[in-house]
Amino acid sequence: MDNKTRAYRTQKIFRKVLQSMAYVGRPVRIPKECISEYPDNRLFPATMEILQTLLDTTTGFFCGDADENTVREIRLRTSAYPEKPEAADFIVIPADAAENAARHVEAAKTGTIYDPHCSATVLIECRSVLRGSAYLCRGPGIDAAIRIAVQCSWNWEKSRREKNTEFPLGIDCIFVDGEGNLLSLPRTAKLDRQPGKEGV
Amino acid sequence: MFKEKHFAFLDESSKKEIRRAVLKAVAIPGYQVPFASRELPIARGWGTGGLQITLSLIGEDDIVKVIDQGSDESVNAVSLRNLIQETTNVRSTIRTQEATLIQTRHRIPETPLKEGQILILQVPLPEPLRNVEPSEYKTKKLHGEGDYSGAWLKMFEDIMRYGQTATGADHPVCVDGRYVMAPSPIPRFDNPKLDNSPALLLFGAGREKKIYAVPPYTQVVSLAFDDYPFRRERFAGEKCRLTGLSDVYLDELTDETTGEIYYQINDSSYLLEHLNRETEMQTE
Repeated sequence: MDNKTRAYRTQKIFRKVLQSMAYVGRPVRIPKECISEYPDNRLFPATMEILQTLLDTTTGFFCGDADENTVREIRLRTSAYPEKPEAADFIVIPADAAENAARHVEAAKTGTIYDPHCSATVLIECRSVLRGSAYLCRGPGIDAAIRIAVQCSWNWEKSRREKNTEFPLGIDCIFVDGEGNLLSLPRTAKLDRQPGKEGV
Repeated sequence: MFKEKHFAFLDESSKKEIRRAVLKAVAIPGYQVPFASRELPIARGWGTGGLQITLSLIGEDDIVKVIDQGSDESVNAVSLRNLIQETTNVRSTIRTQEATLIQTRHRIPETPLKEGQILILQVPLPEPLRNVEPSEYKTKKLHGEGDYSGAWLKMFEDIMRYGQTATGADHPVCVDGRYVMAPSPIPRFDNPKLDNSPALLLFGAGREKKIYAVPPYTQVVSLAFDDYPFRRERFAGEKCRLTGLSDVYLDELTDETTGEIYYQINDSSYLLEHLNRETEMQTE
């Protein structure tokens, strides 16, 4: 892929990420033509595209329970450097992460009251951002309230809630599924579990 | 001149850094995220912050509008628009409802913004506490601790001295109940448009190296005391000379031959659209 095509592609992907971060709780889809195949990689192709859109030599990443090949490919494609979860700017939790993946989120940096932007952005791969455990979501970026649903194998909601108790400290989460759908939950989003409800 | 330059002028590494700052700004409404402001072929203080955000966001499918003090045709607006177009080849428009990206200096368009649009404001002084505290180190601490007594004291002193708050433009606002923010020097008339806006609002200060944001549907309250409520500029019953409209932001102008003072809508594209509509109705 030439540099010009890469520039157009990262722009399109970034706008999708920005749209999902601004209009909280609304799933957006990365266009298929913006997603390449990454056969030697454990991550979803869409996750790799987001990483290539946002990471560079100045950012540290942690890929939870990832194999060496995956870490090497992220390094090669983004020039970012591997980091411990407590110091990483971006934390990636693969879809096939162990059930105790929450410990990586619990270790994520939340910034300081003077520099809340020095906090981690957590990319969580999940089975679906269109169906699954349902939550009612409120906060900036949401017109009154919105119902979201995320299907994930581990309890991300508890870890996220614990990290976001002291605004402006916190983490910002981007959920990605295998179809290239995204859903973002910045630290300002307040969630209420909808008991017994599945799907949106 | 710029035909051979990289798409949207900035190199991809610079765009990445600005994009990360924009995402953090959206995630922490009203908080000023520092960024490494780049050199551009225009001087700092002439809209480089807004321009860097625009160039980092813009894509082939965008339709861009650039305004300066409400005008699509001022030298600054035309120069910025030319730079954006020559390096991206995107379409431009003066119609607010048609634009996907609107870069603006000192005004929010009269036409209500809608979902999906992004308004990018050029900011000369992003720090709302600068009048009361010259040290950046200290203002950062004050924001962190939520100590905005300086901003309140400044308003109190204005009331003691002038009987009202004396902020002509850039009247500070509180975003989502946490950060006090300079809304760039938009007139107080435009402050209510920040509240619960369906569009994403981004603010870029190139000289001061700060980016901040108000996400859509976010509560934005202009600072005011209970007994001295916030008031927009009033034009004392004056109307636009050309359209007769009154509930819009007006420029006070002087007729150079007669010396007569008259008023005219400040937002030039809104004025033009209104006049065109009137002409169409008359010809029908």
